[in-house]
Amino acid sequence: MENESIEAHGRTTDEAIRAALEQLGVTRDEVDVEVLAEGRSGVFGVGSQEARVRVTLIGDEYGDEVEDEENYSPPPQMATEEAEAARETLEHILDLLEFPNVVTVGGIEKDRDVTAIHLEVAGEDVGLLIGRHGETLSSVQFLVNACLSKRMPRDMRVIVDIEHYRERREQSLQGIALRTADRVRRDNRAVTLQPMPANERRIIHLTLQTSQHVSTESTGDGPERRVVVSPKQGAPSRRPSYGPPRGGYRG
Amino acid sequence: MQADVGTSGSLREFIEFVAGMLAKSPDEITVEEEVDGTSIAYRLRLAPDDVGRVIGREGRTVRAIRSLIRAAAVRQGIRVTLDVDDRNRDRLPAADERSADQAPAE
Repeated sequence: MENESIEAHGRTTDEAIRAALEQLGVTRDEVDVEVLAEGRSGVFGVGSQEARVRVTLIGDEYGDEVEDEENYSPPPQMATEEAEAARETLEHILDLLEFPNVVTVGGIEKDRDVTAIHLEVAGEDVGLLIGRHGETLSSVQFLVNACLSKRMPRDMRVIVDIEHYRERREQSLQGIALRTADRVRRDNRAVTLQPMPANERRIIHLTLQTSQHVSTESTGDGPERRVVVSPKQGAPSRRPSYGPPRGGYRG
Repeated sequence: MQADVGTSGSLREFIEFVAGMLAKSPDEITVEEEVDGTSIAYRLRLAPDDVGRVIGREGRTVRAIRSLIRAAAVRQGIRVTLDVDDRNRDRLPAADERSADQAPAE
């Protein structure tokens, strides 16, 4: 069943979300929010832009059956409050660094045991905070988490993105992975990629996880660690058992 | 672009804010700044127990702080450095050199 989903707009992302919630007659913790466009208010003096969001109802229509499920874990009740606290902390940090900024909560998601709060940054010159290969962005994310660690539950993590850098980088890494796989298959020879940080290597591994023709492995240490894409030995077997281990990569 | 007082004030507040979030004794934090033309040298002093908290494992936390103040400095057309120190250090005998490894250079 497709969950109900609507789009709404407003002067700020928060306003757009509020409008959507009113329209659906639900509260914030009953929906997933996707920011389609960041709002820009007059704060910057430049032309303002309306914020647009897509709001999707979580769970089934009545929302009461899930509680009977054995593995049901309650939605992170605190998460919206924690997300707002994280948002304010990042906003404050960027203010002190004198980067005009808009920070929005892009979403809250639970992946296995970890609740990830996604924060999106837009603003003037914020590209400087991405840095070479996203190194400065990693520092921003690291510091926000360090600052909040005493105030946040242990299983909560803040993911920071700036001008959708992570999103764009993920797409380009997927492209690199697929093109490399083609080359490896064509030449029947292993190819070693550029060194990458762990989260980027993980995207390469995951993209090629289901490939019939290539396998991936990380080699090297520290900042030199890189992914090697190799031809899979033998023809695609009838046992698909030499796929990657379950439970993700340590990459 | 020239450095101005407002600029340095804000980066100083940034350092104070982050250190305050990390430290167990935020009351003991001081930040000194030395302005030389368009360069600013910050010195963050903390309670002895908090030095490690701000430097972080393998210096990762202080590296992150430095990387952010540098990004801000680029935008403002200035240069900045940050040293982290035990606030009691000046009370130690001059011959004591243990502070040398407390704020590892990058």
